[in-house]
Amino acid sequence: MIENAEAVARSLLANAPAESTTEPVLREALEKAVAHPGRMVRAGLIMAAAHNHGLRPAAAEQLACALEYWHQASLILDDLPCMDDAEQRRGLPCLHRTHGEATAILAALGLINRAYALVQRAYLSESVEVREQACALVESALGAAGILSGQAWDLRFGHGQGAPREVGRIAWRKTGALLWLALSLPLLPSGAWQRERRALRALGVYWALAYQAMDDLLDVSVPKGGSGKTPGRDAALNRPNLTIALGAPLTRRRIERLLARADTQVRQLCQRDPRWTYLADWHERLLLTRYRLFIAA
Amino acid sequence: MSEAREILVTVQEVWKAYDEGRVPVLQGASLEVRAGEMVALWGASGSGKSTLLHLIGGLDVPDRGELHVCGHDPRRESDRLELRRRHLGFVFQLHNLIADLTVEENLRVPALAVGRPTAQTTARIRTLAEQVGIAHRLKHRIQDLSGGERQRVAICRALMNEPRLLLADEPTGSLDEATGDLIFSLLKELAVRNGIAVVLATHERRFAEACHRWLRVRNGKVSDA
Ligand SMILES: Nc1ncnc2c1ncn2[C@@H]1O[C@H](COP(=O)(O)OP(=O)(O)OP(=O)(O)O)[C@@H](O)[C@H]1O
Ligand SMILES: [Mg+2]
Repeated sequence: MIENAEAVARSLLANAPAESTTEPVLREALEKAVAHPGRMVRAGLIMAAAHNHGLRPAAAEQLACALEYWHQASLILDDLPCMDDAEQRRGLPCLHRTHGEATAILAALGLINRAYALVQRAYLSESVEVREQACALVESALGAAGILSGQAWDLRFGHGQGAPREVGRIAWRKTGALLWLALSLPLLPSGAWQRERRALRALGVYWALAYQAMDDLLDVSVPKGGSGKTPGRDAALNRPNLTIALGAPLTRRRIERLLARADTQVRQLCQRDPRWTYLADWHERLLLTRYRLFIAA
Repeated sequence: MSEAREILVTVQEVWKAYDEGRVPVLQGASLEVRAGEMVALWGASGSGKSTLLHLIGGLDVPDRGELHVCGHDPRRESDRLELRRRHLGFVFQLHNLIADLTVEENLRVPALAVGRPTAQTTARIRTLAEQVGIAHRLKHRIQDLSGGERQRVAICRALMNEPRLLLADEPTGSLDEATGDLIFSLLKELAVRNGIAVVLATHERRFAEACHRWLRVRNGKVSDA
C-alpha cells in the first residue's frame, strides 16, 4: 500500500540514528543510507502482518524500521572492498565510494544498533515469553550462526562439486535471515507465529531461495545498468551463484518449483485462516519479478 | 433488476463480534445480491459495512450464519485463495497498489496469480485501461499518479480476472468530491457494461441512492432502505 510505503519511508528518516549531535560526515552518510530505502519489502510485510494480526501500529513501525536498517546495513557491509567490492547499489554509488570505507562501516553499525533498540522498544509492553522469543529469533537470524555465517561461507565459496546445494545453504542464511525476521517478529504478540511456525518457516525458505535464484539469474544475464547493481560480479568474484552452478535453464526450473511450493504453503495458510491473505499479495509480487525476468526481458 | 437473475451472494443471519465477543458488530445480518446488480451498503461509521464486505470476500470468518458467494462458501472454502483470485474483485478506500511498480505491472499481478497467458493479459490490460481512461499512463509508476488515477488503476486491477462480483469499500473515500463522483460513475458504468455485480460500502447517501438498490446497515442488521 502506497500510504503505508510513504509512511514507512517517513519514519525511516525520523527514526534514523542521525542526530544533531552526530559527527557531521557520519550523519550525512547515515542520512544518505536511509534516503533511498529501495522497495521496503520487509517493512511492507511487517505492516501487513501487523494490520492482519493486530500488532500495535507504533510497534509495527518500529519493527519495520528495524528490519530496513538491518537490511541497509547488510548491503553497506556487503558492498565493501573486503567483501563484494561493489561500485553501485540501486543505481547510485555505494556508500564507501562516496564517504569512505571507515565511515561506511560506522554508518552500518549505527543502523544495526538503532535497529536493536527499536526492536526492544516494540516489545516493551509484551510478556517475558514474547520478549524471550524475539531475542531468540533475532539472535539466530543475525548471530554468528545466521547471516554472518552466510556471509563467511559466501567469501570462501568454491565452484566445485556440491555447489548448487552450497549455494542454497548460503542463500537461506543471507537472504532468508531478514525475511524470516520480517515474517515472524510481528506475529509474536498475537501468537500467530507460534501456531503456524512450520508453514511460515517453509514459506520463508521457498521465498528466500526463489528470490535469490532470480537474483542470481539476473546477475548473469542483465547488461550493465539494467538492474541497478553491478552485474557480473558473482562470476568475477567467484561468489555463489545458482545460474553459474546449474546453468540458466535449470535455474529457471528451480525457480518455478520453489514458487509452486511457496504457492502451496500460502494456499494452505489462507485456507486455515483468512488473515494470511496478505502473504498471497507478497507471493504475487514475486511472480511479477519472475515475469520480468523470464518474459519481459 | 429482474428477479429471475441468479443469486450471487447470500448472507443469512450472520453474526460477528470482535475482541472475544466484547465488540458485537453484526447481529443477524442478511442480504442477497443478484448477478449484475449494484447494491449499496449504507450506514454510519462503525456500523459494520466493512466487516460485511470482509465476510463476503472471505477475508474474515463469521461467528455464525450462512454465507454463499458465487457458488462457494467462504467459511468452508476449501480454496479461499482461489475464490479471491478468480471470482472476486476488491476495491478499497486506499488503493492497495504497489507504489514503485508501473500501472501495467500492477495490472499484471492478478493475472500472474492465476497463470493467464501473457498475450491475453496484455490485451486485457489495454482494454480495461482504455475503458477507465488511463491507457496513456501504463508505463508510469503508481507513485507518480494522482489519487483519482490510482483509483482508476485499482478498479482495473479488480476487474483483471473477469470476476462476477466486485466488492468496493468506500472507493471514493480518499478523493475530493468531484473526483469521487467521477470514480463512482466509472465504477457503475464498468460494472453495467461487463455485467458484474457490485457491493459498495459507503456512508454517502448520494452514492447509495445512485446504485440499483441500497440497503441500510444499522444495529448489526441489514434492512431495505
Ligand atoms: N479487527 C477488529 N478488531 C476489533 N474491532 C474491530 C475490528 N474490525 C472492526 N472492528 C470494530 O467493528 C465495528 C465495525 O467496523 P467496520 O469497519 O465494519 O465499520 P464500517 O461501517 O465499515 O465503518 P466506517 O464507515 O468507519 O468504515 C467498529 O466498532 C470497529 O471498531
Ligand atoms: Mg469501513
